[in-house]
Amino acid sequence: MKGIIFNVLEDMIVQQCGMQVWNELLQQHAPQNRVYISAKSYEAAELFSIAQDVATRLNLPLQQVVKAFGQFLFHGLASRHQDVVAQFTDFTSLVLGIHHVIHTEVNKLYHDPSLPTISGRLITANQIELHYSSPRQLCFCAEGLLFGAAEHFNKHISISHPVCMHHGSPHCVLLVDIQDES
Amino acid sequence: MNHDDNPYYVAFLREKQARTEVEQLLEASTRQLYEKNLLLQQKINQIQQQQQSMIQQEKMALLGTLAAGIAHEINNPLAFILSNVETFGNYSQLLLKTVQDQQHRTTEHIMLVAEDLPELISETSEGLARIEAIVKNLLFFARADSDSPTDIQLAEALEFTLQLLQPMLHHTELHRNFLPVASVRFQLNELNQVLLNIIVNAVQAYEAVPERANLIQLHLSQTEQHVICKICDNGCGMSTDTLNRMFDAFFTTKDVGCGTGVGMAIVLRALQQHQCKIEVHSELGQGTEVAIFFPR
Repeated sequence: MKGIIFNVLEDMIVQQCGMQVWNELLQQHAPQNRVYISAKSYEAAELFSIAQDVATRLNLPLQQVVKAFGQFLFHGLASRHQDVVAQFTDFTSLVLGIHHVIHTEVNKLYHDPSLPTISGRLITANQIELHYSSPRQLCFCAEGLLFGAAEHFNKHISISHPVCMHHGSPHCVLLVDIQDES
Repeated sequence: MNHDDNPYYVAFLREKQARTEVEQLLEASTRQLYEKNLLLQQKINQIQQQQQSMIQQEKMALLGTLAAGIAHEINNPLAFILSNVETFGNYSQLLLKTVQDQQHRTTEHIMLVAEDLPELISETSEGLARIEAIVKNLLFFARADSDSPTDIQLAEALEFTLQLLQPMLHHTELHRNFLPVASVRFQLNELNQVLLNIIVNAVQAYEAVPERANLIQLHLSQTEQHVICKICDNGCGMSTDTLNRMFDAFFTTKDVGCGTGVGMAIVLRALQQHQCKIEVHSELGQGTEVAIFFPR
């Protein structure tokens, strides 16, 4: 897991729970004197432990915390890489360009970023079907990222998740419905 | 206390912002590096393709030299074979006419034909044999089943190469010192190319010294470890600088357009692929000795 993900997680936790909570989380779930550098890789287990702890502290399901982090993560990444997001004129083109554009850009920046496999197709003008697979099974984070992207483009979306890796499938299917603007 | 009132928190945010900006600078450099690397890789691929094309061009040039020589070699016997066949035709006409007319000059005609016929047949046979030998050499050179190493008698391979280069060697004194040696394992067409390149270089080296009689010496010998083939010429020789660079791809001392400079690079590559060593000794103005060590 790249350090930039931990950097954004730190931003979110410091912003929402305070610096002390972040320090406590690091103390409990990361090696001593851990610092996260955006381009370096760290154990994904550290992120999962921190997320689990946050879920326990907030008395929320882990999936909900991960989804909320995904949404925050989109804004964190978009603010750091505005030129990448600026390549897309709307939400749909961004979602359909995840593999060919966004992941290509990520590969330029980071060595071995261990990206998930995501492919999308437009079912109708307002519905996108996404196939997600990753050994880390962070499909709820992907959902959050999609919500973050929709927010960025002032779109309202709903996501159904009929097929999920957490239920034994080799990949997840996410159906993204884009609400009509009214 | 509000976060904004906490000077440490404000300092933390400031430091964090500074770090983010530094990391963004680093990422921008990384992206540039990645893109330049990609461009570099494309250029390397392009150069490799061009090198392949140059190697192919060198092979074609060598083929052109061979083709010209072979055409010349075939042309000579072909000329008198054609002439003889025409004479055969005339004689047949004459004989037929004689038989038909039953004239008094019959004996005279038959005598003429009988006198000339053996020479015509012998000459034609010799010409056809020469063409047959050339075609045989050519097939040896271009044998399609030689993709994998085979056992080769070096003396035989050298002779074939010399015959292919016959038109270039008309004014050359060839000294052969072939001791009995074991066969070597080599890909046949590659060995032909190695020998051709070295001998063509030898020819070009003594062509640069026109006032001297051309001499090529060929030696075959063996030690416990190696079969050694030496090709020596009394040509112009090479300077130390040229000697040091002679196996570099695209290095040539020939005029622009006269040589691709990949001939000896091809030789080296072929020899290395067959675990052979090559040693070159040269003295400027005196000549060059190329020694190839084939593993036994």
